[in-house]
Amino acid sequence: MIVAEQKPIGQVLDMIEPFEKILVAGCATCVTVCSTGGEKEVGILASALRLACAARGLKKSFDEITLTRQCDPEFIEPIKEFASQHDAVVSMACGVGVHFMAEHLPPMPVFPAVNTVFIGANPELGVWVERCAMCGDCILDKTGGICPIAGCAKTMLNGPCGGSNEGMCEVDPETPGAWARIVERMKQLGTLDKLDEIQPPKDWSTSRDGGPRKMIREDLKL
Amino acid sequence: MAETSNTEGSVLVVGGGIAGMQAALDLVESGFYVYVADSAPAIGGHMAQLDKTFPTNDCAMCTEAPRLVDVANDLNIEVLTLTDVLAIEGEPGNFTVHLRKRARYVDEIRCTGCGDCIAKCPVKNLPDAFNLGIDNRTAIYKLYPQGVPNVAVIDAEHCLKLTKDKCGICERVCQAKAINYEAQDEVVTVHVGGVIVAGGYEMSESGTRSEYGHGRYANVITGLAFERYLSASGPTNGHVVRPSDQQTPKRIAFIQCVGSRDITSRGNGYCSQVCCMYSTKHAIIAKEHEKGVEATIFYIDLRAHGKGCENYYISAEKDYGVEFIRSMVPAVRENPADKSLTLAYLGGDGERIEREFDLVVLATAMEPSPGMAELARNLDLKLDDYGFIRTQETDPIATSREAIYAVGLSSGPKDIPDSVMQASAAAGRVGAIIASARGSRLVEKTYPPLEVIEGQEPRVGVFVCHCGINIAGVIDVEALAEYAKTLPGVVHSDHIMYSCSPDGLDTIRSAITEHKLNRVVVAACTPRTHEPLFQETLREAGINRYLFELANIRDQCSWVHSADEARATEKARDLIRSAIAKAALAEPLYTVPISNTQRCLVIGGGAAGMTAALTVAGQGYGVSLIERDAELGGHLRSIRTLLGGDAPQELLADLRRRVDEHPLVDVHLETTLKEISGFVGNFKSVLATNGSTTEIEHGTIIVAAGAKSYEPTEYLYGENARVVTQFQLEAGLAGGTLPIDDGSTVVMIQCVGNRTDERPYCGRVCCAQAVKNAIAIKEKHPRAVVHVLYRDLRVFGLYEQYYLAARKLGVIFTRYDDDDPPKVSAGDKLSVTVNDLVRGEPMHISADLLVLSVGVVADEAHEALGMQLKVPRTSDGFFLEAHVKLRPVDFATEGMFVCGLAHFPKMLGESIFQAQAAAGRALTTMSQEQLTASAVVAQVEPEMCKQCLACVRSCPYNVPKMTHMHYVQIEPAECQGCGICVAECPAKAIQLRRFTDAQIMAQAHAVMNET
Repeated sequence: MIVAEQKPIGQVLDMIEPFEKILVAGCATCVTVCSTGGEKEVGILASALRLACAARGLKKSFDEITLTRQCDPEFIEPIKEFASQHDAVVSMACGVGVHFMAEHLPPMPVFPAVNTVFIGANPELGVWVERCAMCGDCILDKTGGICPIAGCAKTMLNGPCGGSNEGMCEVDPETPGAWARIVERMKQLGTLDKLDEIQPPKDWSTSRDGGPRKMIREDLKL
Repeated sequence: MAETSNTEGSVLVVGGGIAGMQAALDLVESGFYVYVADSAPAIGGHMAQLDKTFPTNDCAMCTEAPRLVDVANDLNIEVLTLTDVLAIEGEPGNFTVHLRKRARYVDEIRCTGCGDCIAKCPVKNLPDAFNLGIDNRTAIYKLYPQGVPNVAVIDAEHCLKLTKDKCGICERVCQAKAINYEAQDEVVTVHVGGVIVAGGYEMSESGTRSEYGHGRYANVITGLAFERYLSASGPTNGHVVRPSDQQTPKRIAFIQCVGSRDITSRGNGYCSQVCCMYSTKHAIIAKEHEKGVEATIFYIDLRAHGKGCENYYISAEKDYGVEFIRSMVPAVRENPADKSLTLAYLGGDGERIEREFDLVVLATAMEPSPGMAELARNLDLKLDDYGFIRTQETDPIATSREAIYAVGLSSGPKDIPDSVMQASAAAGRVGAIIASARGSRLVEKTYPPLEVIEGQEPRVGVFVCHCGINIAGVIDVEALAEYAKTLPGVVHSDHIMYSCSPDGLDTIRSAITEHKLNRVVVAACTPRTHEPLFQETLREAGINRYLFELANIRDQCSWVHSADEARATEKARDLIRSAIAKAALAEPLYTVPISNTQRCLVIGGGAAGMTAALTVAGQGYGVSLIERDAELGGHLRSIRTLLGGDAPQELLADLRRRVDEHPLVDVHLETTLKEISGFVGNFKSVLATNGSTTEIEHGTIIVAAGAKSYEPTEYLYGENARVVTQFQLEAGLAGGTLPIDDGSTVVMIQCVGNRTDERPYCGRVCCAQAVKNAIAIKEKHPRAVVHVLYRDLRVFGLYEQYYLAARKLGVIFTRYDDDDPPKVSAGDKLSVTVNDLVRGEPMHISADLLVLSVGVVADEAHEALGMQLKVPRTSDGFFLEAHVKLRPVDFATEGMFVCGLAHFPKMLGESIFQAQAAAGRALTTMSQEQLTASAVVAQVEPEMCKQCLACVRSCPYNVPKMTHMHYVQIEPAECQGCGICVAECPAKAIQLRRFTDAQIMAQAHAVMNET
């Protein structure tokens, strides 16, 4: 799931400075589940912005809405008219949502209120961890189910590097090195010999290096 | 069970402290009527005087007050204050008890507790005993502000009217007409099936060791007085000051064992058990209150043997910088110039040290309460040498008289959790005697049918209370009542002298009928004490209890803004407007009846499990007792003797026989819990026995799963046959299989495997066990040499007297330093070397036998059990109760209880009463034919749920569950209404009934005058 975190409120205040009627728009999918941009957070951010503006003597009004998903045009369609009654939209969705709102609403500024940080898991309340870097060519079969692209600071394909210290990463001694974990896991699985095979340089064209990605399924397309 | 038809379904509880209240509440919930007789003018006992409680630093009053309110509001508990027991006649199940109720001179029914009389009483200089004389009280007074009943009392010895027939002011100012100078003592006779004595204790004041100068030196005070200084509701509002000059003391000394462990000055051969920890607490809190305070504790042995206590002690020293000095201070000297105090004592190297302190706090002994001797005489109970009620290790709450139980401090020093456990235990025991009369004495109220208000527009009635002059003296209540009439939805508004008095409640009831009110707002005091009363009034008038709101214009307005009447009135308007806005959105709510399987699953068949099973079955309910071993008995099998002389193996045989023979107890040996589902009243479990499975349904669970003995790796254990554990020694002594004779030298080493970094808790039982076995050796072989090498000798409470006995028999106790344990090497004999701290040089002992005192450690298997039951464990692996002090056998999850070694290391007697307590608590649920789910619960809006799991993960009771329907479900029967999930839910899919977002927002907008 996409994990996002809220921007400092000062940044949001700067973005909306020239505008009076603001719509704060949440998204009821990923950012709700990671407690960043769902209905509750929309209410909190809108209230905080109202208080901040009142304290600065700024005359602004804030409306609130939470869409089922900001990444599907069908959910944006019904709020178009309501949105157009405002001068600007502050979106609490991930970058995709901000983008899609800007693309599909009538021409008006759409500002991001959150930073999209990674796609990850939520092992316990209040903790999120990155597990996949979306490289577009999964190699988890070769590394015991632990990703060296997402898990290693250097995205090394043949590790560990010399900076690994008692299994911990040199970038952050609190972080277990992905390669130490890979070796441990593959020992456990009895497949350590697979690591003898040297991995050739990865084809990064399936990742961001190949430019913006697009996927088309002809079988589904109408 | 008494089968006679004249069995009384009622119990007399003597003493209304925390133990007495717990017993009363458990009994009422189990279907029995209770009289609580207390000699004081208000119940609450000593706990009401305490500031905070160790080892969690929870506020004592905040945890005790809800109990006080529950007792006060229960129709089936009659509180008799200023009352003593005169005589008892009859037999178990049917006693007649005569009580003397001393005159209060204030009518308990009429008095509203407003305090106007106290404000006007001219006699103002009487030392307030509740505050240890730190400040003064008036001749008409309340024992303490939160006391129950909330009624004034006249001190007849000092009242001008009663002594000199002058004054009479209180009668004139009392608008409730409650004063009665003609009142007389009366004899009250009650019929009960059993008696529970929760008679409390006295902190010795008079006769405190005179060499410390208490009573002569202003700045030498007792620990209880220090509690009052620390307490925010105490005489100094929580500021610790020196009595001599009211300055903040910077250097505070705490002296332990003042009157305890002291046979010379007080004749007290026992340890008061709690002082080491409460002094540690005092030191910590004094340091938290005031920066730069230095706190020094002088002690003999630091006894931190309770759950969580060793860590508390470590933290006091390491994190707070409390100084602990092992030295018994011989005397205190006052410096006349500045009233500071000089303590001279021997340091660790034997040198004489003098130090000056600003304040000295004495940890004085807990002694039998002053009325105990007479009470015991009147009830015909045997006392021990110290004047506590005599009980036995194997039957720890039973007295010398059947159907009369002694709990709490009545039978010797103990801490709050043990007292509370004993109270629940007594409720479990006495209930067996009167089970046939369950429900027979309960008063049940009948109510008119409920008005249907669904769909009606709000018709709000507002009642503004004068509370005598408490509110009306500051706030213009008449103007307020007029103002309320102008607010939306209000159809009636009035002001009442005392809204909580019987005539005030009548006014509210008739207004509901006359004006067809469907919401009621009372602007008065706090919902904490008064909401149930007003809700009851609504119900009596035929409308749903939840259509009520209380605006607190007293505690939160007139009291705190008494200096500014105009603005106080303005704030009261805001508070009323806010309460009305919320009330207008109130909906009728209904409790839901849920079925209850009146059967208990007991996990573990040791002493605790068998005792719990028999206590439950004793009240007529079925039990499934599962034990993973092939035979019953658990840890008790390895206990051969007991301090005090009781025979543990006879107890074991008796428990086994009774469990085997009891028709209501099903024993499943070699059985474990495979699966469990459901909730209180409705559990379904699958039991696994040697590959086969059985399914059972039950309503409660008692975890009595025991623990293990530590398997030592230290001191050549397992390598040398001369090295054994205390349990092996005990077995050897019983069987005569160990080579000990009059020429032997036996060395015992304490704290093997406990109080280490890995297990930073005290084993609690090992010191007493060493003393017990040392005595056994010396009694059999007087010329044998027995050494006990220890760190702190923790033979707490009444067990202390056996430490003294062992020393008299010639057992040699030698202390070793925490960081310098004894060294052992093997040769022809065992060579033990210990650094003798008194002589300052090593002592070499050539030993025939080395005995390791190993502690009780948690069983790893309980991790899985904890996960199955979804109940927490401590970092040491023991099961964690709902509240360390006041819910010591309950899990936070309803219907689940814990006892015995699974909870923490404990003595056999402690396991037994805790097991009886777990059963007593389980019986409060099991005795209900149906359970009632609260109406104030969280409710999920399924379409809005995003299954993010925030509620599932944050609920402290594990109630929200994911369903196959793809939304979270919250079972109303299980929900505790805490509201945590509501706050956590990022999708706003959960609402707490009675506190919906709409209601809270309406309240917030109204208080800020928005619409």
